[in-house]
Amino acid sequence: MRGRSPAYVFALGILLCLPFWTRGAGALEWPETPIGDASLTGKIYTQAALRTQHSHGYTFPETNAGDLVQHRNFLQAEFKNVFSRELSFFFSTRIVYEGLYDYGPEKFEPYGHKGNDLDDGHMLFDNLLVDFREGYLDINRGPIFMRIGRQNLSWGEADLFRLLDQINPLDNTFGFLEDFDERRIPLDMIRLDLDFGNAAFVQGLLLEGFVALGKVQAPIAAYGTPFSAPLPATPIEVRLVEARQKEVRGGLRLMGLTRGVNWSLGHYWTYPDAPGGRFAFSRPGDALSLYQEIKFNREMITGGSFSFFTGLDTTQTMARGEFAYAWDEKMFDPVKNTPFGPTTIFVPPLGYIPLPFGPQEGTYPDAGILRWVLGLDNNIWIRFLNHKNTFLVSAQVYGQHILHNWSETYRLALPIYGKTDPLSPDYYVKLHKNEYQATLMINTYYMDGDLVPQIALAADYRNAWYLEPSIKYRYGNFELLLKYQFIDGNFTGIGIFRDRDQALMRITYLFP
Amino acid sequence: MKKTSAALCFAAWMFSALATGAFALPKAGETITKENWEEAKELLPPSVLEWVKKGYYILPVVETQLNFKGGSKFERASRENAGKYALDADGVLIEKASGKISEFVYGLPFPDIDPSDPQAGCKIMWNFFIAQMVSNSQQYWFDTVWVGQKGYERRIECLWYRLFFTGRSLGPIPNPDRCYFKDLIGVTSPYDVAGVATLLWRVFGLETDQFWSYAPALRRVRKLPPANASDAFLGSDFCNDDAYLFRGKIQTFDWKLLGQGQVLACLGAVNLQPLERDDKAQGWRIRADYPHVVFGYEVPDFKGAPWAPTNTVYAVRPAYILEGTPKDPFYNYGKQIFWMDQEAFYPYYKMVHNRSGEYWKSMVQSLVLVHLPGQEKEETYPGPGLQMMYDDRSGHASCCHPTSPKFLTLYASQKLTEDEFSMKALMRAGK
Repeated sequence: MRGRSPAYVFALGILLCLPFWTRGAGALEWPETPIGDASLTGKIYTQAALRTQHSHGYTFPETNAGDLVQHRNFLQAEFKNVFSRELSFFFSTRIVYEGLYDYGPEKFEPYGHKGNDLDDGHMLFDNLLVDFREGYLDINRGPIFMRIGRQNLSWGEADLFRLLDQINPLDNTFGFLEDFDERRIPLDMIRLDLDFGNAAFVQGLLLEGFVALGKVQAPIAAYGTPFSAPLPATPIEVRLVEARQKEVRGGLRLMGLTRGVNWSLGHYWTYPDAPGGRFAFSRPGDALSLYQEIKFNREMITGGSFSFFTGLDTTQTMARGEFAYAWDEKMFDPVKNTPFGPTTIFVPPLGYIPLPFGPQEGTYPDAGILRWVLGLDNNIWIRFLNHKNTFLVSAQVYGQHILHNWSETYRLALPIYGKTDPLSPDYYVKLHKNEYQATLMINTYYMDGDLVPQIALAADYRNAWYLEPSIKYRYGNFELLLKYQFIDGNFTGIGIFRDRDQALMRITYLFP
Repeated sequence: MKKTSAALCFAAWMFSALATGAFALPKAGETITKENWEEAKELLPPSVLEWVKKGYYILPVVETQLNFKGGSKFERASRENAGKYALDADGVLIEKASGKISEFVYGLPFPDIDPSDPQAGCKIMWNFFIAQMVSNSQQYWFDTVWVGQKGYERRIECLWYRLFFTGRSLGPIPNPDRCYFKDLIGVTSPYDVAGVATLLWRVFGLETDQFWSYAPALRRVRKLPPANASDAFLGSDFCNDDAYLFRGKIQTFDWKLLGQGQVLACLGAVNLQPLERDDKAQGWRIRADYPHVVFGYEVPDFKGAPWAPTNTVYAVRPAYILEGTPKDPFYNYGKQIFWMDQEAFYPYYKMVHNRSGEYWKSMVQSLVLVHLPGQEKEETYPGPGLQMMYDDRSGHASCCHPTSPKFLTLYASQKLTEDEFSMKALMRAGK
């Protein structure tokens, strides 16, 4: 579809949706929602981002302050029909046209329009994406609720950090600072909820289970696109291990309310967004047939969440938390992933010692990792600033601890700019056994809800941070969003994008 | 309106109102406008009277034969309740004999109000609270419209489902969560807020209510602090506790009866409205001939404010004037003054002050009395016809039509069960 204009794309989307048009009750499906009515809702937006600093490091192509790095045109339409109290249907579709590669800086032109070998069904850097998003049937009968079809499912209590919320993969080509809901890739899934009502000391005991089929993997933002990880060009071929069609994600969650505390406990199998990588040979033992293998590995996650009102009337604070243990997460360890390995061995007093072994295939080491988030949400009245609405102050602390199979040679798969020996672990960003981050978000409503200023802050304890002031203004069915994204600090965590500060503007039309 | 002038106005109003019979009442057929506003000066809250004087608000006066006492069955139950109930030191409704929280009451718990009783204000509020729940359940699909000085700005559509566990004419139902009621409010359009929903469990006694929201963008249910109850609802002029004019927890306020008088009560209809059967919902719905409220912004040549109703009527009714002050220092409102019907125990107006005691905004709510076919003498259900909040500081209003044939208004649906007010229902409601 190369060369189509945004107008063409939007017109096509609207035409596709018109046959479904009727007036209706929208997205809810509670009893007595006017049955038989259908609804079509959606949004159209155009979004542009400008870099505000020169790149330095592995950002490629190199960008300068003032360069356009995104011009996304987006249509999402959602159709819903409530056939009866027991049965309803939901369908959503979207069309995304990224104009950067057609009329943005020339340096991006070669990187558009390519299919992506690493993806299945999601044309990553094709600049036009026509995407069937979700489509499912809801069946509700007595204590049973079933949702069958392509859908998203999100568990947990944490914002920004995905601990239990790793059921659906994220589209990393969509921009790492976008809302999760736009980035989630729906899966073909059966979800079943069983409501046991009140049982023993639990109010509203609910068991939820899901099974998702299909080889859907988190697309990786490709080299030369604005959201790619800061990596040098590699002369070695990259191959993705094809997922098998039969691959299954699935799990169970139990949730309820006990003495005012909402809680959940869950266990599931999934494919995390970060793939494992190693070097391998097409022909065993032949160094000339070397390639980089990328593989999404199935992983087992166990965890839970809670939230409760602290009872502190003077602060009106809600507390929430979430923890998840990844039983067998694939780690990046250059010593074990490289083909000549171990070319070095780590001896604590001496450091890395080279060994004269010949080429051999790398392996994927596993580790057991505990992750947790503790959050406090506080609705604060600051009446001299806003007499009508509270300020929502939401703070979180995130921790990550490698509890099983820790190795000093674990790394983030990110080379440090300026280092020259890719076979040395020192070439990569070190991963600590214990990592911590924190976030803070404050927002409020002004002008009868039409104006929403917000400030968001994220900080890594290894001195990397992110600051995002934004303001949203609503006028009728139109919405204007202005945002500045400022990233700085050390080359770790969010700091890996420290040379990509940008200003962003989005204009949205909501329909109906 | 400045703090001092509002206070003076209110004092003058109280003086006049308490001097019962010292003024002539407007006659049915008259219309109160800015030309003859003095005829209503003892019959309206000072803020509403100011609207009339400025020409914002026009009030056609009618005479009505409505039975505001709730029908013979309800009246009989109210009489039988005399002496059975009391309030504890915190203002919680208890059974007089046992001292335990009353878990189910049908009829007014305090049919005889003694104005000299220091607890009279709180007792009137419990009468209002129990009387609104006689219909067993209520379901409203309605819109809320943002209206500025220049007229229409934008609108949202909402669903509001209420299941009552006390006050029910059909008798008690299982109540394992020990709640007075459960409320579900959800937004159905426009797109950016569609799917936003809140679930409230109003629990017995002084326990903290359970309050959750569903955020479609997060696809998660989130627990909310009670402070959200006085936060503006999606930026409108209403807060969550303004639903039904007052949806706060009675025992978390200090109540004072300021006096008695007469008020021009806002009525959605002069006559009782018969409900019709809705087989699908196994309940009773408002009929198509019920008059949909039209606001000023919808009428091109309307001379009043764009947020003023154009086709509601007003009747002179005896009223209690009450003051409620939140015990929670974190609550966004200061004192609220209510004008409550002395027979229906239904509030028509309230004036809201901020935490500093300055007048801020006023709300109007009309009364619609409905009945099941053939039961007009035995039992009637009260319901809100229109709700309008005007912020006198910003000159902005929010208007909504809880009862309207254009949308959906249902009472006593047998399909609306406790299951629909659960986590499962809240999660199912979203995308």
